[in-house]
Amino acid sequence: MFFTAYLCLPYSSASAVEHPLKVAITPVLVERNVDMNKRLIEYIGRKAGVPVDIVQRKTYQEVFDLIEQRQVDIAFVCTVPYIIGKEKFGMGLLAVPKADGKPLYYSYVIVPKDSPAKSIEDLKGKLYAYSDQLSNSGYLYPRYRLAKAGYSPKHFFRKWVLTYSHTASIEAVSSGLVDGASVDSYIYNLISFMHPELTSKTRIIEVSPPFGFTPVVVRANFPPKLKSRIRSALVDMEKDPEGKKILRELHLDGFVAGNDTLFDSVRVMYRFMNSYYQEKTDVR
Amino acid sequence: MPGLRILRRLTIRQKLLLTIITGTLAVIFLTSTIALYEMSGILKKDLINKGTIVATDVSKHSIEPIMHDDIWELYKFVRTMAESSHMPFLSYIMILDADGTVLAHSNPHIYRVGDQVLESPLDKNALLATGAVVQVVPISKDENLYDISVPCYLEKQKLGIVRVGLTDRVMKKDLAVIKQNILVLAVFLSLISIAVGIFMAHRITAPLSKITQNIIKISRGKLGDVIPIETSEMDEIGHLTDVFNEMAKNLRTQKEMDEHLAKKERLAMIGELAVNIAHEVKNPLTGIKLGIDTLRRDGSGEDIIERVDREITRLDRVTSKLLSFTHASSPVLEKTEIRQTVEEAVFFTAKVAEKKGIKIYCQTIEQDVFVKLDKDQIQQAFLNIILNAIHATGRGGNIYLSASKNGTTAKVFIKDTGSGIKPDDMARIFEPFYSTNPMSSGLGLAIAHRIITAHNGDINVESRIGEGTVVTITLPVIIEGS
Repeated sequence: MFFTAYLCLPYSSASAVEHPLKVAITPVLVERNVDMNKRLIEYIGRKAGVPVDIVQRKTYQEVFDLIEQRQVDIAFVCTVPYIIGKEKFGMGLLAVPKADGKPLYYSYVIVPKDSPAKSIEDLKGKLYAYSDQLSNSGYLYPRYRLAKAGYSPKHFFRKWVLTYSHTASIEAVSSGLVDGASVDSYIYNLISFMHPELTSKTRIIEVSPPFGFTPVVVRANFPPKLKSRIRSALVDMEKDPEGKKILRELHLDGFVAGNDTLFDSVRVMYRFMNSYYQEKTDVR
Repeated sequence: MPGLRILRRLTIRQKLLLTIITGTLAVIFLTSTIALYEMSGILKKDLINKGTIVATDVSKHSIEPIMHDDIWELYKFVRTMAESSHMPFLSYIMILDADGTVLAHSNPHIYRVGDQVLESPLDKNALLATGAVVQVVPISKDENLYDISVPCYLEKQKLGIVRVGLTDRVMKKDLAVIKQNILVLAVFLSLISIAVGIFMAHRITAPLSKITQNIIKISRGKLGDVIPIETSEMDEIGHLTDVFNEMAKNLRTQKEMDEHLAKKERLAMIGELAVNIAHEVKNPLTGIKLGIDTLRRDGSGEDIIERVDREITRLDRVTSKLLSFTHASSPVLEKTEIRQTVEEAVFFTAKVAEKKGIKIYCQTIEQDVFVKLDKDQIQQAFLNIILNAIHATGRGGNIYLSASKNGTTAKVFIKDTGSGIKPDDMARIFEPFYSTNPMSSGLGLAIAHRIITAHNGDINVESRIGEGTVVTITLPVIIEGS
């Protein structure tokens, strides 16, 4: 309802400062802890001196569309929407979170604890869960990995399902709905801390090479001054006790300004997969 | 029938209790059977209703996820429903596509996404459902599975089917609880009915047993011990009690009247006795006085002295007889043959009879009939009776005697052909000084009666006017070996 009301407002960049900052999130990252994300966003708004409105969407695609249409200003998305958005309409990189000291994360292949599978190859003909078609760790990388291993990602599994949440993927594995899933390492570790009953029924059988952490992005033509203020708020968070508390909650070390080259490895995979199918990933 | 024999042995209290308990249990059994049957029907209907609602609900929510192939969404929904604590009767929920392939199943370990569920006729029927279809499959003796399938339509295209499996285990558990409650209630009601039964039975039988006790007292002649029974009951027993009390009261009044009368009669008799004695004594005394007066006047007269002496003798006889009547000594018993006693009595009276021209015939006098008796006393009794017969019999009359053993008794008959005894006199013949013969002291038969009674015997008189009298004396015989 809140969002519908917002849509009625005419958008202009001049009025962006006076209007509340629209920050979009998805449950893809932390389905069960949206509140933690909200606290982070409210903190940033306070530090940057701008009011914030939080917009929640189910899929990365929906958030991608909102940012492309400039209906939101800032978004917590995955690497894939960032590289597509940057190329397509100049989506900007705002900051990259750090976990374990580095702005890096991994893609895990997880299976039920009692599964005999030792690698993703052992899951051939099984049921598999992806998180979001625009997720790197939860979709792009495992498919890239299968394609590179000589399998057809489309037919490797008997059936694959989309959960639109890494947490849900962990749940799908732990509940036995699927025989395996690809999940974000940061989320997996966070869940294993917050909801050990879910991860305890699962097992990691594969860890991908490191990728640039899922970034915080801004829409095209975002006011540069505000952008740098917000970026500073994010980067300085680890020095601020209140910020530190929120970071600790999120199991993050902090944020770095980040460099676009962090995401080059994802770009390579994305392009490979695009050419593999001789078609562009359907972005809309 | 042995059952009926047992029934016959029961007291009213037991019968009443049995009736009340049997009745209560029968009513409880009947009503609880009907209630459980109805309840079972209602619960079954309710179960199917709930299942249909769940299936329809899942079906409605499944349209969009099925269209988007959102397996996780379907699974989450199915799992949330299946795990709901409000629906413990749910065995499974599954969403199948139009070909019977699993899209979601509440038990993902057994039914994997992509599996075909088309094994049984149940599965086939469910898949063909165009509306809600309820199928019942017995799983075990105590459990049935209700499979309810509801198709999932988008416009007119059948996207799939939602199947909900329900177990009636929970329902049966509920029924078992109800059964148990009914049982507890039944036991409780039975206890109440037993208590009421005992109370009612007591109210009915307590006056009855009191009445019985009182009747026993009356039958034993202890009318004085009869206590009126108090009752406030208005029923038949109450009525019986009232009637009994009335009867007891009347009996008591009657007895009191009888006693009063008897006392009066006794007093009258004593008075009469006194008059008789006075009369008996006065006659000789008058004779003696006259004699003495004559002697005083005339100075001598042998005949007068003779007469006075006679009168004194008479007076002595009367007082002796009176003494022997009132002071009858208890008999000195010895084994005696009855024949001997009878014959001796005949011997002593034969002369008197002969004088009056009366013949005494000894008819059948059985031998070896032994009786324990006081020989003198019994002889006296026989003498008195025979003399009485002689007095009652006119010249040329006959007296017949017979003696025989009849079981444990010896019977002696003394029959005369005399004038007989008038019915009015009959009742008084054993009274002392009662006699129709002015020459008799009126003590003979009274003494005989007394002697026979003292020997535990019986004396009975039958008489017909103008024909004669039969006196029957019954005495217990000695039974050999006893």
